Amino acid sequence: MEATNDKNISHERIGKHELIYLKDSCSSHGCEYFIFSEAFPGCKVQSFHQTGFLLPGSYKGKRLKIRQKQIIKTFLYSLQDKKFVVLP
Amino acid sequence: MNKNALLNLFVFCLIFLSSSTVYPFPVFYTCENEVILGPSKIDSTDLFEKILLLNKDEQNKTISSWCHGGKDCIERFKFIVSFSTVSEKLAMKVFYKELAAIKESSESEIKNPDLLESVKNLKDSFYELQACQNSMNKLNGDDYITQDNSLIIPYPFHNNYMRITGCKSVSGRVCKPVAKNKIDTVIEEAIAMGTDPYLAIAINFMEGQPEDMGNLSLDPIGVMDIIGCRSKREKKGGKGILNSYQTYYKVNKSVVQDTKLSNKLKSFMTKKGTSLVGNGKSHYCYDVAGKTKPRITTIPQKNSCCLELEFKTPESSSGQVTHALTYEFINRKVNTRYKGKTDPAWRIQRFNGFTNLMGGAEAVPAWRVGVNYRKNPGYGQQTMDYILNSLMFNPYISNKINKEKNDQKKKVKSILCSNKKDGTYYYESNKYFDKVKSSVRLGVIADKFNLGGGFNELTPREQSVIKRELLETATKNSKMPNLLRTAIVTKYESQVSNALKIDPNNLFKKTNVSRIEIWDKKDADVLLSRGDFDYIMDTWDREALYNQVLDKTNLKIHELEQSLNITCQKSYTKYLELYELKQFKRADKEYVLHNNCIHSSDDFVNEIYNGNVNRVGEILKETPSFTRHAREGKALAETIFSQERELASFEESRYEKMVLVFSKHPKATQKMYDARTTRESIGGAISRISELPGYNSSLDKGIRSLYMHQSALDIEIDYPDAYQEYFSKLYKDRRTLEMASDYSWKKLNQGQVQDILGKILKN
Repeated sequence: MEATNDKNISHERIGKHELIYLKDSCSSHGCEYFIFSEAFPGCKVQSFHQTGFLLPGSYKGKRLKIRQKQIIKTFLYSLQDKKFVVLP
Repeated sequence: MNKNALLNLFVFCLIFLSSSTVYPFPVFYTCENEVILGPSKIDSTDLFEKILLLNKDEQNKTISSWCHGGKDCIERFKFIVSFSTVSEKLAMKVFYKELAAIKESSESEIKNPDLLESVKNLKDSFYELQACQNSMNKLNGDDYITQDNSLIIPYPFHNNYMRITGCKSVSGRVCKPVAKNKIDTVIEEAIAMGTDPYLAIAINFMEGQPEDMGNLSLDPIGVMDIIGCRSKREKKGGKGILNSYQTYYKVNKSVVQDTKLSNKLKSFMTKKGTSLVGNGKSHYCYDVAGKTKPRITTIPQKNSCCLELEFKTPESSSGQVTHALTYEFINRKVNTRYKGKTDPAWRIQRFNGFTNLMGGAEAVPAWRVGVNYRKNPGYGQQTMDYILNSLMFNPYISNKINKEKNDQKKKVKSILCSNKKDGTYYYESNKYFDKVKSSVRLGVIADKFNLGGGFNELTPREQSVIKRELLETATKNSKMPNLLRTAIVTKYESQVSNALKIDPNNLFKKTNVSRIEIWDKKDADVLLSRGDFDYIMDTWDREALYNQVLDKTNLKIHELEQSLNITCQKSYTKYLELYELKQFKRADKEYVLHNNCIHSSDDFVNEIYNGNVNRVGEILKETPSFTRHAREGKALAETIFSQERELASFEESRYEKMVLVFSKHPKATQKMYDARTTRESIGGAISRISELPGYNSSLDKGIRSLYMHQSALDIEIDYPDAYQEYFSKLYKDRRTLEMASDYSWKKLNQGQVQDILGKILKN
């Protein structure tokens, strides 16, 4: 895992998944989060893009939780779909 | 005024009176100590004096605007009448009576004849406007109540915000107007808490559907903040840390004395029942870790954020106090200016935040994507439009507010009067409607395009937003495949998934394509040996098998998590039961148990996903309530550990060669990857789906459209080209909200009003 920070952008990489969020995107509805994942060797794709409050400590690479309004949603990376899907 | 000026004015009036689309008129109001006075108390002398201070141009503009405004106001008055069961004849009688009364009282009131001489021509149109405005409030409010006790709320425009009426569109089958008793409650509560009741109602309409009226709520940290306890955000949870919907804060324990807030809460509780308020003191306490719900106690609780209440109220009132604090939250927001701006819309915007590019990530409808709220506070503007074009002139609402103010003997500050000196003012009735309508979309990206910035120079967020717009406008963009609009996709997908109970993404089967077929179809310029090609294909095929197995295991872990949640829910149910029985100490214990259960469950599941068998074992020892899940949890952790290790070692062995091929031919490699499967034919799909339970032929149109849409998405989209095409040709017709919306943004016509009213009265 590695984490870098500059003025407006924050990266956090765990395994094949790199979480990016833009600080200036934050409002009362949360911040915008992106994850770029290595779909297959050498090829990175955007696998996640949502706005909400990332629950502290919930980003575990292939899994994360986001609060949108009052609802907490769990997203899990689907290896077959190559993107994060919301779990029921 | 000279003869020419009068002639100009006359011509001006003729132009405006013959137009049926123009609908603005000045709305007058008088402020005293930031409180808005009733329409009958509008001070005409003050207004005329203000007009005398204007320069000639401004005076002419004002006079012109008021001249046509009188007729427009009457038209709006008739519109409000047509939205109810009032007879227009009776309504007009009210108007003429009001006009006569105003003329009589004003003639005697304005004592300075010189003053009136210079604004003589303005006088009649002003009186007419004022009488019109007063009459709206003097209509019988009961004519706006339906048989099932819903409230009819006239709103003049055909736009995305017409949902305030209860009807999302003119053609929709059902309308669900707001319940009268919910509006009554919001008015009563708002006045008790010193909140502008029009604003409170408007915000409720902005935040949800009419049936959600009165349901605003605060996060736990919001409650602490309003009480006045300081807090600091923390990265992780822990002892004494507040978990506000899984976001963590360290809140300072304190006992806050705030007489103003306490008095408001006293009014609020008195309104709920005089038996709820007595002499003495009580405390509203929320433990700083949020382990228990807020409670009313005689003495301050330990480790809590408490508000001293300068009255006694029973323990059962804590929920009411929590609810009352949502109104105080509104008060605090609108009392803070945004960067020195004076327009109230900026203050109201604080509820929605100040993004510069309404994103593709939020659940925001496509027509609103890309608005810059830092330049144009659209949320605040629409709230103001609801107040000016609907709520203020709803006879039921305005009568109820006046009655409630008298009953509670309260003067409540108005958002219209905030930071205004005493005096009489006016708004153009359409000021905010026009601002929302002409809000610029995607301005931040358009500016970059105009400076020569290409798609690849946009930030990931900007790319995501513009991609959404490109998909939405695909049919008009020659560089895009032929895609359905998002709203249509959503409509068909929900039809299909409701009827067939299957995920629309799995609606069409994909079959594998033979390697020889992919080899034959691959781009001729890709210099790849057959041996390397087979190596790549073999890697992908084997990787897909690993992925399939791993995804299945991941889903099993998720099922285990759901089962754990049911276990944790038991203590929460018990907590609620005990709370109802007022056994607070035992209830608190159950709440703590529930919280611990949730945390342990989260840790447990995370460690299973990580394949950390040892840690899973440790958590099981610490949490006896998970014993029944022990065997499954351990087994899943072991399974995922070995499956991930196998996949990783496989990928590692092939990584170097795969990266080499991909870096040489990125696009062609991607194409080969996608070519490995093909979708079944539409005929085959329909015949297969028609055998499924829940199928009926009315689904065919949606299934065919989704098939076309998904097939079009298989083609790789050249976003940089599509972006160029969009800004060169399409953007000019998608620049504003009005342009991108499906609604006309014109006033509702008589037929539309009757359609809507018919549906409302049928409910």
